[in-house]
Amino acid sequence: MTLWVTKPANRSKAVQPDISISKAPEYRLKWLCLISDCFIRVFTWEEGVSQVPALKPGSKHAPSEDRLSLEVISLLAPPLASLLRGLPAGSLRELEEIRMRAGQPLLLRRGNLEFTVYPGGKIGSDLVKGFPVTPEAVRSSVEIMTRSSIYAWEDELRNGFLTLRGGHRVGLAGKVVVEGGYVKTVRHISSLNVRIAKEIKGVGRKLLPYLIEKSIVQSALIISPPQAGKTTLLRDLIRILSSGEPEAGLAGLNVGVVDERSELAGCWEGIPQNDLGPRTDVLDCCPKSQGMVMLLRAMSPQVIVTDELGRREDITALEEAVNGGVTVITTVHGQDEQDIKRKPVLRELLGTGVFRRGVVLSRRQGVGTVERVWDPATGRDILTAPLVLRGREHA
Amino acid sequence: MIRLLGLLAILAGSGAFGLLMARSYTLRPRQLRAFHQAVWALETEISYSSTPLPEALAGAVNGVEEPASKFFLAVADQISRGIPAGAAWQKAGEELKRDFCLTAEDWRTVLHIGIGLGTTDRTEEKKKLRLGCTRLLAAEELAEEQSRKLARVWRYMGFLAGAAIVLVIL
Repeated sequence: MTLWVTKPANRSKAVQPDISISKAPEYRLKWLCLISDCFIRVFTWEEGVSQVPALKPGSKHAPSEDRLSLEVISLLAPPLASLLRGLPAGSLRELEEIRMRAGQPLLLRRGNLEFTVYPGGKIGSDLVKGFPVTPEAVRSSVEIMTRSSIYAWEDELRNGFLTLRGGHRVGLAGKVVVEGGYVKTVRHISSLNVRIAKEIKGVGRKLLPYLIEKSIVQSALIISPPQAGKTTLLRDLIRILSSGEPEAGLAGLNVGVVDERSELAGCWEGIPQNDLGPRTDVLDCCPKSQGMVMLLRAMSPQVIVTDELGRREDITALEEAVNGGVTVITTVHGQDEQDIKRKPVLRELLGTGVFRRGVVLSRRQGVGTVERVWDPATGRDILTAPLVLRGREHA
Repeated sequence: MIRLLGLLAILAGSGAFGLLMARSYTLRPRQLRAFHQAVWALETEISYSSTPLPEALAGAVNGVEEPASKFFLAVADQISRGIPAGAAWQKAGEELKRDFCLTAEDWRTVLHIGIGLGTTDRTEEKKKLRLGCTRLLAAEELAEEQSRKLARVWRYMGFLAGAAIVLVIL
């Protein structure tokens, strides 16, 4: 068997017991969980038992198996749902992805470990023996996920994803229908990728002091390559600004979020599934430029947050917001200041002078490494050394 | 005495049968009208606000008479349980058929509306539901005409047939 499983180096840290006496019963329980996990793995894993990474019992961020069953598994086609429900307890803990491709075996992923489920109800890595996903199962899953109301998810389908209750996101692929040069919808859906939502809180706390000047949060542009924790950071900043941070001398602010791709709030039927704080208003699936103006006129926000600016009309709306006395926090794709200056629209964006903070993110020391914080208006560097917002275990 | 009672029973039974038949002819256009009203409201819910089917179906029956309202609520309930809309529509039809006074042709019209329901975009759904409304309206007009002609006939014919039997026996 080819081994294609890698064990993250710091997984074991997560299960190191605290030796304080007062917490002893809790750790006994954790060790019992671990031992039971080992038994489950021995009896359910047909190959490659030794390659299964250690699990973190009671993770703060991953949904419980009951929640997973209610919010995700119950929305899969009946044969797939009963197959996954039949797995022994613990098998789906900390699951990150369920991939269904018509005519291919069902694939699941936890961290770097990818595995399938055999028709007998055991998990393993031999894809040939994996439970085959039929085109009918993919179609039926989409029907159940959209509650037989494809028309109600037209915008999401155009963008290639659905958001489920709980903030879980489902990527779609299939035959794309184009009208007038624009994607109209995706029909004959052949692939689904269910990504299980995980909330990572607290990553923005370390960065917050660098964004505040004279007790006022400054407009900021976060520059980040993909997969460097940009959206997670932005989501956490929204939550912190909305809730207030007494340690940083910050009272809660009214935050308006324009969530064009439903990534920040993970709205399901208009209700944010991610915790964005008590003073946050979300415009879901709304074009950024129109959304910023709508929020400005209707909701009197103190801060407007949006993700991935890049169009010329966004800049006009942004200037209108900042000139109206609102702080704007947004992100762009890029490696650093020089990189975005090479792109005309982004160069114009940085040249507007509306941003008082530029933040460069990277993965150099793990996801969420802040390489630089500076004031684009003066060119003054504010951060002296790179800042790691979170450990590798969340990568 | 017993004979007299028997003859009265024949007369009453025959008359009641006639009244029941007349009632079914009167109810048929009313039920088709209720369906038409609900499908029209459903089309508005879908085309105007893109309401997902379970809520759209529940919202469409406001002011709609039973048993049509019961049918729509049954479909909404089944979709919420994870059954595709097309199958839920057919299933509700099979389960509630006995509560209606519709003909086989009427049922074909009603069940046709559920085929592929909720599987296309808003424009297509609107077109399909509009077509359903047109067909229901045609069925309703036909049923109305039959009701006008046949309901009165059955109302009297039951008693008259009973009287004829009584005369033959006498």
